[in-house]
Amino acid sequence: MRAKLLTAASLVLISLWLPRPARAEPPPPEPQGELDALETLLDQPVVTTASRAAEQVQTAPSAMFTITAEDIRTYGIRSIDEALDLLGVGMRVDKARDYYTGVDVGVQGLMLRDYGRHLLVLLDGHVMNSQANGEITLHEGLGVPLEAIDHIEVMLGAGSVMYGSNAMTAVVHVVTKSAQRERGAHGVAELSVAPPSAVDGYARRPDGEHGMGYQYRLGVGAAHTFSVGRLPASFSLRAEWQENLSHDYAVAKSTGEDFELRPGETSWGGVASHRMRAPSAVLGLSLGDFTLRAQGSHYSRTIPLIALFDDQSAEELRSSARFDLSHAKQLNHLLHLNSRAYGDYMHQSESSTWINPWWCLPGQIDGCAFTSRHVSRWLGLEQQLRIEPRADGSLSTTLGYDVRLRDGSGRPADYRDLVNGEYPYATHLPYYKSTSVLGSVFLQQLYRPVNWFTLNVGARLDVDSLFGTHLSPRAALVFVPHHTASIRASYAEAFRGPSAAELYATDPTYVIRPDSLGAEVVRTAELEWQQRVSFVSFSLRGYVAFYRDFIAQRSATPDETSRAFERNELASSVDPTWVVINDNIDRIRSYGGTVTLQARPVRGLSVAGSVTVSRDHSEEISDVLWPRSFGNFRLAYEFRPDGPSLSLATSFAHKRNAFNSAANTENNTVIKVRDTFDLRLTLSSPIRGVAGLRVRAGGGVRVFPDAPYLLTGGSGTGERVQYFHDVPQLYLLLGVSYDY
Amino acid sequence: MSSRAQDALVPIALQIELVGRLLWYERGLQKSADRQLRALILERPRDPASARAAAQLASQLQGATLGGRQVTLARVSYESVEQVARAAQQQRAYLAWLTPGFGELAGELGRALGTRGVLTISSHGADTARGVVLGFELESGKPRIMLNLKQARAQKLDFSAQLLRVVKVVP
Repeated sequence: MRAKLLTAASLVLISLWLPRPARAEPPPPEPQGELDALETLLDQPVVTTASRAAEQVQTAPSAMFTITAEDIRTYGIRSIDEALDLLGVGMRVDKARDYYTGVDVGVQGLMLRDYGRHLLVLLDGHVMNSQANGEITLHEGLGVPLEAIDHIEVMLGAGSVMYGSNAMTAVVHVVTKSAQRERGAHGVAELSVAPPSAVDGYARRPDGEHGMGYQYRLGVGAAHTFSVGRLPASFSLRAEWQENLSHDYAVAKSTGEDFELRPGETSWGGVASHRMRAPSAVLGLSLGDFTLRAQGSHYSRTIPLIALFDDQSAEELRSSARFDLSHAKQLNHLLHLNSRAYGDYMHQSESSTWINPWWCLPGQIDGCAFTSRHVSRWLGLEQQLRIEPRADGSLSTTLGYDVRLRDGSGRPADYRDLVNGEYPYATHLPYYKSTSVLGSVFLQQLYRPVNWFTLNVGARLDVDSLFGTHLSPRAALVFVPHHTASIRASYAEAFRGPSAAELYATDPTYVIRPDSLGAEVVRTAELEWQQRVSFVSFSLRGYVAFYRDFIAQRSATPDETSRAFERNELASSVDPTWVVINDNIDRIRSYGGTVTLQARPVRGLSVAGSVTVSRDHSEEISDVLWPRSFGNFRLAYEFRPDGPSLSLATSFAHKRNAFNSAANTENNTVIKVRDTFDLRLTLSSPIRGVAGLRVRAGGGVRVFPDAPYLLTGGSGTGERVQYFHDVPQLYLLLGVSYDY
Repeated sequence: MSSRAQDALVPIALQIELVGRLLWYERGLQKSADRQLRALILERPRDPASARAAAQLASQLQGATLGGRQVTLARVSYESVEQVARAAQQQRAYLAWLTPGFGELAGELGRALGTRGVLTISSHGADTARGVVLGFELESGKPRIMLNLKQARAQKLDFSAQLLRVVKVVP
């Protein structure tokens, strides 16, 4: 017994003395913090617009937000301007149209009826703004099929350091889906119906005189990836047809001989409608390191209230064709080279009919047919070299150049006799043609000495044969003290060079050309704090912006007018007091801030909203269109991943001026658009049993419809405020999509 | 097949951070008493994009911790699938990170390394459909983790249900 005890004790001692074999331990409890951090990282967009290289949004040198294809589907979005209005941050987009000007877009305190000239729009990095007049629109006329969009990146504030002219208030970068993501065939069909609206803009019951409006969208797409030899290749195509046969909208009748009246008419007003068509397509082909992209669109919209009432022959047209051949190559472990050759054609025109001779040229006593046309063509080459001497990416230098040959031409004001169609014999009709060269070099240095600090400095020098040179610098400091927080301080300058149209386009009835124009300039400073706490993330951004040398029309001096008469720019019948000329006359100061909040309190539920408050002051443009405060709020619930979702999106804006300038009115009356509140409800769901089939249904309402416009009678008399509710107050939407 | 420099990739630093956090949810690793994690970086010879990614991975993984484990690193220049599999066995690698440029070979590598229980990771999400366990892609500008769950289970990798909520499982 004793021997047994000794043996057992010895065995215990030996076992204690022997090294323990590696033994599987029970797994530690999974740390919830890591999962939260993972979700945070997966929710942070990776953006490419601000630095022309992929980076997490929290380390970007500018304020950015993105809108995804899923957002577009979930919230019942029908066009890019709607997406920016309902889902954007710090950006106000309003469809309070006056005749044909599209949408008003405001960013960083600047909202002018400027046809998009202070905003740069890119399609997969390709500049879309017209090089003849700088214009771009964000509604259906942009010409990008909605279903082709992978996501939209928006960089707020000055962006000329990377992109040059026009990037004064924002860069809107539309990124299309890759063929890899799009593989297969796709189709979409969507219909919106809208009831007619009464004089006050509110929806009314349809009857024999007031008809419903219909807007439909039909789209097809296909994408395929394959190999050619050992090279990867892909093909993708998206084509879409949109058409709107608008609701009938009632317009209060105005009486008086000064209004544009057809023979026999005694008043201007009644029931009007318009038609819009917007076919568009994008094509992508890739082979190895080469990618060819092409885009084409033709947008037409009747503008039935511009002169004669409900004139269905008055029309706005926008056509474009673009190609872009790009090549990207990692040359070695240090150098990455991007090259891009591009070419664009854009045509814009507007036509209308005028009865009152006051609006026409001498001799056109029966009235005139007015047409304005602008054609822009440009070819360019851009190369960008990125040097990363350190493998950890802590040091990165980007340098590049862009050379662009531009041709802008136009017949900005053609007046033909309404009866015989002849051109005037006594007045010279304007025509301009401008061939110009733009060259630029840019340099950006990124330095990240430690994980929590990034310095990004850069500058771009633009040399433009139209106006001279301009240097656009930017400096940004980004601190990331924790993966849940970042603080950014930045300073940037941006500019917009005068366009050929602003320099050379004239109208013999009231516009003369300037001797020269300089660039508009903005200087901005920003401070932004982004923070995530549990399932809530928020950001707080403040900015101050100084805009100077704004190009605006002012009354021409007697000397300028007399010289214009000598140059035969003005018709003999023109009243010299009505003659205007473009000039760099204005300064605007703006300061404000945006608060953004996003939360995912429970699985499947997302809530987000933003509010922007700002003040601005201009010296010459007596009132800009910028509302003092605006914002949006949305929530969506996804019942299961990739399953049905129900969403509510709203946007609101404080009352704002309807027009840039109170000088538009004889008695300096400031016309306001009252507070707006738009609301949209959407249900999106896959159809059980048919893989790839989805349905989207919903509706939208503008709670306080208000769209004032100043109606001016011939000879400048008879001014009164009119209300054109060509955007319906209500609509219902039903659509299906199929991915094979 | 060479890699395409135009393909949008999730930045390498972000890929590493995502892997570092998701490995807390691989129960096999967390049960292991080994405090070190042996990783291979697979590089395609004469492919600058692969060389660049390999250099970035090597620089940023060296001394890093993934899933609470200290990383020890080896770079392998690809010659053949068998050579890579041998290297993984010799190094007792837990994971192998495929740099861009392997194309169709990614599937062969995924399967060959899978039989030795090595967790394969690729910078291209599409490689997960070929047999790589984990991959990354940008979807609407946001990073996505792709997981080939069937391959992971075949390799006895035990990812927790919590993790499966945030990754995209490849059919």
